[in-house]
Amino acid sequence: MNLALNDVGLIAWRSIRRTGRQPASVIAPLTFPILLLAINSSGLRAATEIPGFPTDSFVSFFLPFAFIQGALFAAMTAGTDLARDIDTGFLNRLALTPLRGTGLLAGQLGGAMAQTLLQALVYMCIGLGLGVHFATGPAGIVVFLLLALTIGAAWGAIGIWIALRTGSGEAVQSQFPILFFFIIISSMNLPRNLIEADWFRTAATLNPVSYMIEGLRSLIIEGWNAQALGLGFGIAGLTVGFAMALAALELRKQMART
Amino acid sequence: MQGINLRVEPGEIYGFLGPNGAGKSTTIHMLTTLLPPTSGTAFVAGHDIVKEGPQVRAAIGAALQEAALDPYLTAREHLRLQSGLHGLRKADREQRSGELLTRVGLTGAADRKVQTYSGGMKRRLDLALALVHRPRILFLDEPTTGLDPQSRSALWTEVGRLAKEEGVTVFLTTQYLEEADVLADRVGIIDHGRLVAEGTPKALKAEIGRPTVEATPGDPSQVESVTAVLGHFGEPMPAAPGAIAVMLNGKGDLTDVLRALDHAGLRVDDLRLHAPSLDDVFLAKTGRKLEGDAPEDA
Repeated sequence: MNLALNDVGLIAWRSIRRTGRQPASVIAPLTFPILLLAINSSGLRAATEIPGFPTDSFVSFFLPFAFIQGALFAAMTAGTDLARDIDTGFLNRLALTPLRGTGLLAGQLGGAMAQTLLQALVYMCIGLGLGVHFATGPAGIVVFLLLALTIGAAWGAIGIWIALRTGSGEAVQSQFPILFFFIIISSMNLPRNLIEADWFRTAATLNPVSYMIEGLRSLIIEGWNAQALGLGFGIAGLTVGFAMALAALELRKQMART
Repeated sequence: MQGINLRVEPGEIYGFLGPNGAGKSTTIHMLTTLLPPTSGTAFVAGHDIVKEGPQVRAAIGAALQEAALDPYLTAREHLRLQSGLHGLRKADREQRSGELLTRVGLTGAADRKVQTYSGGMKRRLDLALALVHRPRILFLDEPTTGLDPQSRSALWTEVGRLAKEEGVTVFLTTQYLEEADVLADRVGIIDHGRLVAEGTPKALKAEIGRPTVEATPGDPSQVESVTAVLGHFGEPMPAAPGAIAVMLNGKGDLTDVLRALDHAGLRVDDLRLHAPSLDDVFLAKTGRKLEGDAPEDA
């Protein structure tokens, strides 16, 4: 157990250190979500006038988007770095040590989650600074961060799976628009019941990302909503499990030591 | 790989020599457990590479063809990571890292990111990483490819010291004849996945025999005459364009050849004596030259 934790800690430590030394991997995830938050909160403020809109603060409504997008950035970084390890042969170096496959996967995921947490704290400070009020109080903020971290793990697991599946940093990067598309066709800009276009509302309803956003959003503007939180944590947790299982299968091929 | 059968003794430096695409790296990947063989058996440090992978990996260190390093980490961080993954305690990690940095001459650059390193520095770090857990056997896959002569020589010294002073067994692949000649106690020559020759460099060279004399006539009209004179001293051999070569048959040496040419009134621009090299061994065994050979299926 101690050895397994040692493996996870070392791989996560390396991942964090490497990410921290790539300015683009730090600056973009911190600035783009905040930039979009600022633009959308200003440009779409009128949406709060729509009858049935759940809050009069679009910043409060839209803040969860920053956490989702930031987690996607962290996932891309984790995936790209892992793919680079495969490409350069660094994975072979790791394969020659007693490192377990689970240790590698958990360590990589840990690195992505650490980045997600750091970003989440920054977004949270900015959100609170902009006057976002949590209907669930301080406890809600803690649960919000926990859910954001779980969502970060879900995206991170997807990034790791894609990296192991393709073994190419370019292939991982090319998935970014597809994954971002899932965020766009969610309930990020409007509550699902207010989306007029049937196809969009259906797509948003079928889209798991909607439930991640709604779980986060519920803590800010609704109060304690067990269903929204259950769906948010459940879908994010299931995604982590499913993507990590797929990643483990791919790792056996990429790290085919005897 | 096709029916390779070899044995390396403890403390020996074994040079695995062959052109690009001959199967050297494939062999290393199989012996280091990174590539499961489709058939056949191999034991490394007494352990079956298929059934006892973890035990094999515990006994070996490897520096593979590409010095796979993280450009964003420093040498010291690489060593900390590697030693940690090998289960060294924190205090031991620091001590071992310091020892190895000193040994490979990277103490001064230990806290610089690897992306600032030269090729030689990366190779030395690669070697240090392979030694972190004090392996009994060291696999080096073309360790000096792309290095300048000074870095190459430094690495040879270190590898030689490991074998002679610490008893580490070294299995080394190379496409450089000089490297195999200088470093290896025994050499295996591989071509198209087959082991075509094996022995000490001295024995292999002696096996294919005698020195070659190569002459380049000063006057192209004298090619036939020079060929006739050289023909008295040995059998014709392939030669550079415009030159004539014979493998000496014991009826005379270079001095005798020179005297005979002078006696016949023939002028040569260039006259060389080639002692047999491992390249000659390769040529004799495969019909092709090794050095300067184009990659086949690398």
